[in-house]
Amino acid sequence: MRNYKEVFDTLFNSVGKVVIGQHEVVEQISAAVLCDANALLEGYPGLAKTLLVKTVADLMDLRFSRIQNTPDLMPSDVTGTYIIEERNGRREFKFQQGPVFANIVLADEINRATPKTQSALLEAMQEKQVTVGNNTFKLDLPFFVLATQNPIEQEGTYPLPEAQADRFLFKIKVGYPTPEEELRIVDMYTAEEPEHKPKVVIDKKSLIALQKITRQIPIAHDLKQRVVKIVTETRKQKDLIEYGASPRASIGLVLAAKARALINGRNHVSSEDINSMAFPVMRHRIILNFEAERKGMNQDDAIKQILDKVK
Amino acid sequence: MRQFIDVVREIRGTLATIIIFFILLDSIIVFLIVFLVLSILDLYPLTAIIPAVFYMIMSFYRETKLNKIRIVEKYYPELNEKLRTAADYASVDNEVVNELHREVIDELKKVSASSFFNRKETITKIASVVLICFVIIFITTLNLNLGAYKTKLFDKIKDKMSELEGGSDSNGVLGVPLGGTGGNQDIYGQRSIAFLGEDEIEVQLKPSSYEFIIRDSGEVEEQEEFMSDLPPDITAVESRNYRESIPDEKDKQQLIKNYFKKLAEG
Repeated sequence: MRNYKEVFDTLFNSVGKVVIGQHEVVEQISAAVLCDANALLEGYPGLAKTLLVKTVADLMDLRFSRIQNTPDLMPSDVTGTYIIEERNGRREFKFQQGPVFANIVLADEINRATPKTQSALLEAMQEKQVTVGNNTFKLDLPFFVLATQNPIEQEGTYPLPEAQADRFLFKIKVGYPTPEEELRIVDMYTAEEPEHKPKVVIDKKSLIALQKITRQIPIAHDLKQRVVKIVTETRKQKDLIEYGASPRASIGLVLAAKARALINGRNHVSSEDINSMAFPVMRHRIILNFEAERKGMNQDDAIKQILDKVK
Repeated sequence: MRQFIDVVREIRGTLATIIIFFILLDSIIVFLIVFLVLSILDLYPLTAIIPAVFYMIMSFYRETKLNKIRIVEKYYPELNEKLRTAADYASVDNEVVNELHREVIDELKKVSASSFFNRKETITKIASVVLICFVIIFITTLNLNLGAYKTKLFDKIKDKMSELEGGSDSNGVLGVPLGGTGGNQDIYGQRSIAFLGEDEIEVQLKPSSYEFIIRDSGEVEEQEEFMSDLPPDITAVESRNYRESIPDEKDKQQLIKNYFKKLAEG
C-alpha cells in the first residue's frame, strides 16, 4: 500500500507542476478514475478545469478528447457518424468515430448542449458504448467523462435533469486558489513559456489493475452501515431536503471511500474517507427545500449537518 | 488467514475472561450491599442472592452484546477501524486484505491483556468487598437491628397508601363502600387519636394479630366437660298472689261458683 501512496504522491506532484493548488480536486478526479466513474466539475471560468483534466490524462497515458458543448451540437458530433468513402471506385459507408472514442472525455459546459446530445453522451457514460444507427460500438477502456458546468450564466442552458446528474459519481466543486497560490500561478504563466511535458506516472494497464485493487479495499461492516444511514438520512431530513439521495449514492460513497483509502496508502476504509467523500458524492443528489434555501443553506451545509448527526 | 482467525479468537477469549471477572466482582458487591441492608432491617438476608443473580444475568447479557474488538480499539487508538475491518474480513483472501491481516497481527503483538485491567477500579472494588464484609461482621456482633423502625416505616407506607387509595373515588356516592371487589380495602378505618381527659391514649391495632388462616382451621373439638358460660334459662314462674286454695268438695265448689255468677250478674 505504501507503493500505491508513492504512485499517487508522484501523480499529485506532477499535476502540481502544471496546476497550482486544487489538491482536493485532483484527489477527487483520481478517485473518480479509480472508481471507473464519471465526474461533474463545477466552477467559474478560468479555474484551470480543462488544463487539470488534460494533465491528468497525460500523466495516466490516456487518450484525451474534448467536446465543447453548444446548443447546436448534435449527437452525431459526439458519437461519430457514417460517412461515404470511395475506395477502389466503390462507394461505401465508413464509421467515423466521434470525440467520445477516447479514454478521458472532457465535456466542457455540458449544460449548454441540448438534452438530446446530453443523452447521447450519457449512454456512453453509463453503458461504455455508443449506438449509431443499428450498430453498437464498444468504447475503449478505461473510459471516463469529466463534464464541466458553469454555475453562472444559466440563460440558454439545459440544466442536467436529476436522473442524469445522478449518473455522475462526483460533483466536484472547483474553487478559487488562495492568494499565495494565485501569485505562484501568475509567476508561472507570465514568465518564459515553460516546457511542461509531464511524464507518464501510471499507464493504462496499471490503471485498470488499480481499479480492481480499489474494489478489494476492505470496509468494516459498521462503516458500511454508517454510509447507508447517511444516505437514508437525506431522505428523512424533510426540514432541509426535499428529495434525498438514491441507493446509487450509497454504492458511490463506499466506492469513493475505498478509492480515497487507496490514494492515501491505507488498506482499509476509515470514517474520515467517508466524511470527505460524502460531499462530492451527495451534493448533486439532494434537492434542498425552500426553507433551507431561504436560510441561505447549500447542499454542503445540509450534508455537514447529516454527517454530524450520523456519527 | 488462518492465523488471523486464531488471533481474533484469542482476543475475544481473553477479553471475555476479563469481563467475566469484573461481572462476578460487581455481583458480589451487589450481593453484599443488599445482604447488609436486609440484615439491618431484620429481613431474610439470604434473599440478597436474587438481585445479585439478576444483576449478573443482566450484565452477562449486556456484555455479550458488546463488541470485544471495539474494546481493543478503544485501548489502542492506532488499531481504530483497522482491527474491526480486519476482523470483518477474516475469511476473505486477497492481496489487500492479507496485507491488512499481517499489519494488524504485527500491531497486536504490542497489545497486552493487563492493559484491559483498570488497576484503580479493580483495587477499589476488591477493597469495597472486604470493607462490606467487615461491616456485616461488625453488625452481626453488635446485633444491630432496625426492626422497630422497619415496622414504623411500613406503617407509614401503609398509611400513605391508604390515604392515596382513599383519595380516589372508590367509595359510593355517599361515601358508603360499594359491593363487589371494589371499595376501600382498609377494614381498620382511619387512624384517630383518643383522649381521656387531657391525656392522649395510645391505642395500637396490630393487623397481624388478627390474621386467620382458613387452611389451618379444622373441626372444633368437642370438650368432654363442657362448661357453659351462658346464663341459666329464664322461665316464667306463676306469682304467688295469683294462687288460690279451692276446696275439693263438690258442694263448696258449687257454692263458690254461684257466688261469682251472682257477682257477675249484680
